[in-house]
Amino acid sequence: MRARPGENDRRPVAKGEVILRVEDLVKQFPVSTGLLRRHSGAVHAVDGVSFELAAGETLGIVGESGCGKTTLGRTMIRLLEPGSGRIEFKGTDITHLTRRQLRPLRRETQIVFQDPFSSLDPRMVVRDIIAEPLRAHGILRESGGRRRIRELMEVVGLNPDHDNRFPHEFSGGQRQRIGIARALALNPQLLVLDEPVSALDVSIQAQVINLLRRIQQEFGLAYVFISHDLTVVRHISTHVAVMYLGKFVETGTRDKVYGKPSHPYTQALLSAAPIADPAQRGRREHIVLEGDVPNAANPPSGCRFRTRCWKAEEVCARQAPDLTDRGQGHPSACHFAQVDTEVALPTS
Amino acid sequence: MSVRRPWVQALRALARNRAAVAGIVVIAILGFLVAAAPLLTSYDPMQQNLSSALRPPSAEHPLGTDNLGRDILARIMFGGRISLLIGVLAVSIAMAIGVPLGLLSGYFGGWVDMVIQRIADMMLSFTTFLLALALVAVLGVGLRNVIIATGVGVAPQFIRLARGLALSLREQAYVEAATGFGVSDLMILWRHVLRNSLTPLIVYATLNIGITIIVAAGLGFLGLGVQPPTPEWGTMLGEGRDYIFHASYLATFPGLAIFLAVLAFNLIGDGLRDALDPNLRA
Repeated sequence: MRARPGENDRRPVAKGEVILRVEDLVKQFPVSTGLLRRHSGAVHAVDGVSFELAAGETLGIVGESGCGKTTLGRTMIRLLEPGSGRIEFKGTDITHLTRRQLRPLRRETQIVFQDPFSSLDPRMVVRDIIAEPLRAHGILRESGGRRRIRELMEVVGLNPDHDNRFPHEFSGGQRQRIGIARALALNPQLLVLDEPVSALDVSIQAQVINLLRRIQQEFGLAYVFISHDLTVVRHISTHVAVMYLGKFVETGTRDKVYGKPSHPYTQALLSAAPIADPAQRGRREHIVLEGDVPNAANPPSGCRFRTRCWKAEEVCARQAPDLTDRGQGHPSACHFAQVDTEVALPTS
Repeated sequence: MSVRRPWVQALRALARNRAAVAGIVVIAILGFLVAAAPLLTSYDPMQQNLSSALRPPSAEHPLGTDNLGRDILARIMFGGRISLLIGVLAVSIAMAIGVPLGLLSGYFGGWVDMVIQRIADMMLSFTTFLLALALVAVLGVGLRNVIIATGVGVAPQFIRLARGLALSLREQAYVEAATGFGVSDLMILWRHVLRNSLTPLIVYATLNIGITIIVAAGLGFLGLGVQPPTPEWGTMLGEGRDYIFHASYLATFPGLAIFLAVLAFNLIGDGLRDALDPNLRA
């Protein structure tokens, strides 16, 4: 029998080993218009994104709503079909695997959804919800059955005696813990966290973030953490990518991106982030962006950010800037990339 | 333990709904009369007695006798067995056909959807009654064929409903989540889509029992349903038609029975919908 990708590859990944490599990933959605629903164009929700993620690391992806970060998160684990590009998981090309071939991969990559209400089937009790991934792979019994479920509930800080309750009997934060327990059931190596705390109260957010950090340390998972909230991303990420209209505009380690932001968009985002120290308030530069995010179906020529950028010049309309290091120490997609420490956020 | 709490809640809501409770009471009474018929009447529903034909209601014959001298009350009680059986069985057939087809159609989309929906469209272009009539014309008369024809006649309604449910449920985040865990499509259909469709399907089934009773009665009225001398409400109504001017009780009482049964099922259906639909429940 032909070995399926990922099947006999359940070995633990050493810390620092690259687990996910994405190259020039494109995901477009067709736009249909008119009575005949002719395909008149395409929205490039993700337009040429590349990155690497190693075990034990967290890549935080930040951007405004509609920038394609959720689509990127789903495409990279093949919940959505990629348009073009290449996705490698633990060295295996998974870009074009069929649904059947993907099954082993499903054990190793999991996703936690933003909405803790709609992502849990309202007619299932918690025990069945958490057991679902195990059942899907026929390993519920061998993994320990109900004991395993109770164990998972304990890991995420839920009372295991509540395993026969329905989702609606839990609070938002507890429901998100159920979602996390479910995602952990198969011992995945990569977890895509799609705005996992955005629907929660701030006090609960911190609890869930701390839980995620603890789990990561305990199990050595790689995280892709998608959020629009810079302060949340700062807490959990080792690496950060700032996304605008389907493209990464600035990437680097957390300290670099937060401490030495060089792309105008990153700077604008950081300048708008609330800051805890009252003495700093009002002293920081506050950059207010003009206008709205352009239509993704018809993005501006050249640099996509130029319509809202105060640095834009003629070259920006002509030529899209590459995501490269222009002397600032980490990649930035701006012709005039320049570190601005005025808006930097402390990362400790 | 409060494992089935949503159902308890729904039952409470149903108990508070007076119309639904009335429907349940009517069906319970009808059910009792029909089930206990041999104990409640000493008349044989088939036994002819021409010497006492066309008697109006009296102490001896509470609902009178028909043109062949048979006790109408006895015939309604025994006939109810057939009519209610047709209603329940026909809806079961309709669900057995319509629900799987509809769910597959809505969940998978594409050419599966195309094929199933064109067939459903074709069937829906006839009214339920006309479709059942055509089927009886092909299959022939008789109890079994009436049940099949009526069931197939309302099946497209269930295809449509199940398709719509599957269409909306497959977009739910928990279905996407299940896909992400590697749950197979059929398992998703079974565990998530079907289970979450059950409530509206049960409601719709209850409402359709009334419709199938009417369709079957209509066939009986036209002489294309259950054949005499077997008592069946629609057939009795048809037989009474000839005497409507001088012995109206022949047609009135079977008609009343149909009316009561259909009304009761509709009330229960409406009540169930209000009780089970979380969108309407406060």
